[in-house]
Amino acid sequence: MEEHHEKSVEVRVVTTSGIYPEAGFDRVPEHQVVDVVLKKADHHLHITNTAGWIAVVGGRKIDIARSYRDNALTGRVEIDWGPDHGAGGYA
Amino acid sequence: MHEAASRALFEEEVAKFRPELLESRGWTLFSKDFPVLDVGFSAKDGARLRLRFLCNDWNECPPSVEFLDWGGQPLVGIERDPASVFNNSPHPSTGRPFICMKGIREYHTHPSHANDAWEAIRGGEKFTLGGILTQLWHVWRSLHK
Repeated sequence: MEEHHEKSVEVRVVTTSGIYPEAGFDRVPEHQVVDVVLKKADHHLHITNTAGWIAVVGGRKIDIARSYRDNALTGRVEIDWGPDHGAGGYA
Repeated sequence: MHEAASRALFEEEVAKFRPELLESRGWTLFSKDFPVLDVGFSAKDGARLRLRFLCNDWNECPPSVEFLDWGGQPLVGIERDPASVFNNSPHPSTGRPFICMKGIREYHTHPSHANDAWEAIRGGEKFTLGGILTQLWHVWRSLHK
């Protein structure tokens, strides 16, 4: 019988409103969509509107609608979550 | 806005800047004593920039932001970014380089943006002190990885 090993990643979300989880990392399946943990972080940290926000890991912007595996993320993953750069006003 | 209320909001927001955040972003917190929020950005390429937020009357008014060198002296010039947020031309009020971005006092008081009111965006998630700092950090990251 084929043995099934579910691969997982350890994830933490870092924002200027706080950290999720409060301590340590959440262990989640690598096929899980990144947005799932971001929604949990938003709820936990009372973040209500993330329009225009981006997720960055190791300096690279990731696609939150795709899984950790699809974003080539393994092991311990620290997601920096916050608003993207502002636009200049051309004054 | 009453100073006590302004101070309370300021302190509530900056208290959420956890050490994990500062370490992962390469931020140095020089001061978080109301009304000054003084934060340095460091990049792996060795570049550094320090921004001094003057947050008197927060958040009735947006913060006034000054560019500093790492030693705390005002910069007379600043590296331009692709989005033209860092503006080297003298601001009509201060005569110094300024940040031309929504959420910054020098933007909203510039004659070119007289119709772009702070009140329209005040209180939004992008325009907390952390939200504004994050936007500016991403601007700077576009120059220095």
